[in-house]
Amino acid sequence: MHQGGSASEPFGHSLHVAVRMAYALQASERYRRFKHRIHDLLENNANPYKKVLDAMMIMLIFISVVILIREVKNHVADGWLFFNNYVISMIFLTEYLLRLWVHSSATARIIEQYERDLFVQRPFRLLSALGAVMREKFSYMRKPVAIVDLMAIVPFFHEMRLLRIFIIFRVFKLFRYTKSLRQLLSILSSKRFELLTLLIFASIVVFVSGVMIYVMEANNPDSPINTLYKALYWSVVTISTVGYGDFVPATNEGRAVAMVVIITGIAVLSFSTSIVVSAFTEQMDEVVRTKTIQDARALSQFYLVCGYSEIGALVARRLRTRGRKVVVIDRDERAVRSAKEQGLIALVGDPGSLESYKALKIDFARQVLCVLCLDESDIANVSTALTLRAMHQEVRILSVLEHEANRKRLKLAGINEVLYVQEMIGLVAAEFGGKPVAFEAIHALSSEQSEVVTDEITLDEHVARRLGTVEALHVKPFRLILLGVYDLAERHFAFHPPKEFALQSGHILIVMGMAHLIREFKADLHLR
Amino acid sequence: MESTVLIFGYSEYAVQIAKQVRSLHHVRIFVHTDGEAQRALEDGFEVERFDFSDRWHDDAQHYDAFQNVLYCALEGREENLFLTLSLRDAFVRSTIVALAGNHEDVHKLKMAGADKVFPIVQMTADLIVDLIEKPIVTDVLHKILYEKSDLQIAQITITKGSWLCGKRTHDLLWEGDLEVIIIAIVDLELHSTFVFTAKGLNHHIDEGDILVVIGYHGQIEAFRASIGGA
Repeated sequence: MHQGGSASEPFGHSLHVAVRMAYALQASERYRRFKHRIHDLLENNANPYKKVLDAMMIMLIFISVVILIREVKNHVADGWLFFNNYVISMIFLTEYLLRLWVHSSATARIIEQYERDLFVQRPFRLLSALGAVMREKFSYMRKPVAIVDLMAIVPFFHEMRLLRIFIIFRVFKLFRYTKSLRQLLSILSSKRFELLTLLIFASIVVFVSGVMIYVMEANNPDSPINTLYKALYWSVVTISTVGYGDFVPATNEGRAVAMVVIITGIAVLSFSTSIVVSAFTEQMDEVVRTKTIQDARALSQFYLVCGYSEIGALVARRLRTRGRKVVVIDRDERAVRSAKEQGLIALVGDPGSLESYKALKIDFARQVLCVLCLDESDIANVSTALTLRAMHQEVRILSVLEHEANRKRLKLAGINEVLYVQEMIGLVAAEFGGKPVAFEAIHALSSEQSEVVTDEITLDEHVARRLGTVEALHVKPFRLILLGVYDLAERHFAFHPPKEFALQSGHILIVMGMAHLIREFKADLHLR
Repeated sequence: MESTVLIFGYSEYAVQIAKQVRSLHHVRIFVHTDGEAQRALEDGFEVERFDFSDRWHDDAQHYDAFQNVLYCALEGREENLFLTLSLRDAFVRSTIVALAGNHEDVHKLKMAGADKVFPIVQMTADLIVDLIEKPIVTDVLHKILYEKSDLQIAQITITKGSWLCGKRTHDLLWEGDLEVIIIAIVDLELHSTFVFTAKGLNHHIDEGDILVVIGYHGQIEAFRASIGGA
């Protein structure tokens, strides 16, 4: 079977020109990349340029509407009219055509038809292929948003004054560019059957009561309701419980009809309110979930906590205190609620399932500083790590280990750092038993309340070359203690180095001092 | 005389504590279930059974001494509280260390008489944050504190007549050429509070102060000898 790319004659007869073009386009890397970029720009919310495009479109819509309003009673400069009638319309037309183009692939349909015909050894049916293409394009054109897009272009024909009112359709285009409006629409559309039923019911009531009030009132000279149009207008105003009072029935029969319409109106209003409220209630979880995903995607960098255990909660709190961003995934709804109460971005989901991360749509390479597997079960943490490794090989993973026997399994799952809490506590307890004062000193140093901290400062090539040796660091004015220099390449720690110790790029200074003085020292290193 | 460490319970925490201290101290494990007793015996420890109704006074006569440490590491939080309270009543001189699951228990265990409480969750969270935020510092301090490397942390008490008496910390840290680094001083005049040398206070060193120093083993011993420290 022919696999595209070549427009030769593999089947013993010349290829139809449409098939040749389809194969050529399908084989063209440049064409596919261009179409993908356009599709991404128009449809992918994660594309940063889409935000710019949306903002620009919203601005054009407002300009259009302002011109329309101003034009009613004032003169608008010709330049603005030209901009409104031609430039904006052309931009909207281009956008419409591009959306129509990227919605489906005509080349794929033509090739599909050609290869199907070839398989059953019959002549290529171009019309059938074009029919399939048209059906697909038409399915897009029938969508409400596409209809609104088309209507928004109509004011291009500005000579037809009536068509100017179509500018208002440009306002409806806001639904396309504003997420919250789209969400509102999707919530209401989830109840379209109920709303449609209510609309049909209300329409029947309006029609029947309109006809009845017309029959009762039209021949009464004292009654203002003397045409069917006025009768229907009165019926709509009454059923909606607005009741302007500009037309009121004059006969007892008419008033009886009015009472029925008023009571029906209350019912219609109650039903419609309850339908909208229940739609919002049912969709609220999904709305919140969507918002959470958007918040996570908007973060530039964060720590991903998988398993909001007691330790997870505390780690998240500590990280937030340091100004770090944290995203939590936990399968337990209560844990997620608790995380949200702490002001964290949290999502209900199984950390050991690919679906959870696909839903989050995060870029591991760019956004995730480290994944923390803090579930209280080694099995769950292994599952999480394997899932993450299946998605991304490089992301740093740290996990707690509950049982020593599982250490190797966690390592095999691709976890970079395994923390066996029990062993750590054993080491600390032993240290306390031997040197309690030294232990307390180090423990106090690492406590949150301590003003004195130990920090690491990485030297870049520029700073290292300029400083030369440890003597040039001048730590004394900042009251810092240089514990040593860590060589990242050699993985060697030079404790308390002498003054003549040569500093190099990649060296990490381990300093102890007041937090604010360390910050000043860091700044000074680069400003000197 | 070798100090004795009594460990109560044989949870995974207790196992690790026992393994860490057995090379330096005489270790006895007190357990209250057969399973724990069997595991501790298999690991080669001396094991004794206890009951929560025990009065402990006989054991206290044998083991209550200032240099001895008791670790309360039972799995049940209420049992651990009860045990700490009971032990404090009998062991007046020993240091009691207790493990706490959360912050609430820390306070209760201290009220029950523990000298030192390790809040497991808090310590773990701190360590995780340090590991991911300052991996190099954490690694270096871990090696100094817990690994059997030549680089160590030590505490040295200033004795009467030491050449350090009357000196100021600034002179030692930034003017002198000590081979060790003094990171903190416990000042008896200031009610045994820590004075971090890096805080910048020019502290006056007196007899009885305890210096917390980091250095290589040989350097620390030479420094200890030179100042006549204990």
